[in-house]
Amino acid sequence: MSGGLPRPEALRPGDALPPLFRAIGREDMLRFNRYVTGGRDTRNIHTDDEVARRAGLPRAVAAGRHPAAFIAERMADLLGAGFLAGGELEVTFVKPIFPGDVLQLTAKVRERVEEEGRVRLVFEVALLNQDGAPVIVGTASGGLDSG
Amino acid sequence: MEKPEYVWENLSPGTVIGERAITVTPEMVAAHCEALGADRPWYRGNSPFGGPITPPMIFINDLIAINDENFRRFGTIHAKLSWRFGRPARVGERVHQKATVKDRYVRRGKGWVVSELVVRGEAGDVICTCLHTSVLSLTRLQEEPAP
Repeated sequence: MSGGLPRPEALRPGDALPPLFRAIGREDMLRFNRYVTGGRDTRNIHTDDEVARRAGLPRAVAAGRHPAAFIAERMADLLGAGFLAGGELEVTFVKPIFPGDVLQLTAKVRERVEEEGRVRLVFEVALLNQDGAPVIVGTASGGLDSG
Repeated sequence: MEKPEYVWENLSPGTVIGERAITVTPEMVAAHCEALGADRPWYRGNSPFGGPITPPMIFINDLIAINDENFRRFGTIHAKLSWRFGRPARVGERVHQKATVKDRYVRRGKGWVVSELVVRGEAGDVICTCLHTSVLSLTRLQEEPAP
């Protein structure tokens, strides 16, 4: 699962994780929508260009929750139980994500925080689109000692 | 009884959107993993938590699901998401979910609502807390100070 990830104990402020690339295609968006609806296909701004245009968007856009979960899984890959029990994730959606976008997940250590006998790694995280524009930005953190 | 509309005017801080108890099933985990392309042996077998556990974002849709169980909702646009993970839920575990409105304000002519989902185990311990900050249509705009 680590996919070439470094040992988290060795990470220091300024260190970056290897980037992870995830494409979001229309079928991925339809699959996520079926997950949301319990298996039904529905028309909304995430599945239908016409509905999206009526809402003022150029075409269908991915639900932000969908790629935000990529960041949580990446942190779980790195920190294991230290993220799953005690981890935090805070993200802001800054640009729409369109079908066909290829997202690059970046994570850089902002600080190592000593708290109650454990070390918490705090990351600046972002998802960039194929043009290099941030679409989701935020922070993620988790402990080193329980994973 | 007809459900109230999920609009800014009906969502004052402290409003309980809804609560429910659900059992986490292997099917829920499988659907989540398929929708998000997530995988980890801990989700299907042994883990440091003593058996199969759920992905960190397993309750990613549940605040919206509780909204829809209790309100007529016409779509929301998420601006921010914030998660704190106390511990992973165990597959087969019964959990309690409560959704409330934490804050609302008007900024740049738009209505903003901060809603919270808290998921607890049967012993009352917090599994995760999630805050959604969403933009909602304003039908009867009343300017209130932003926090």
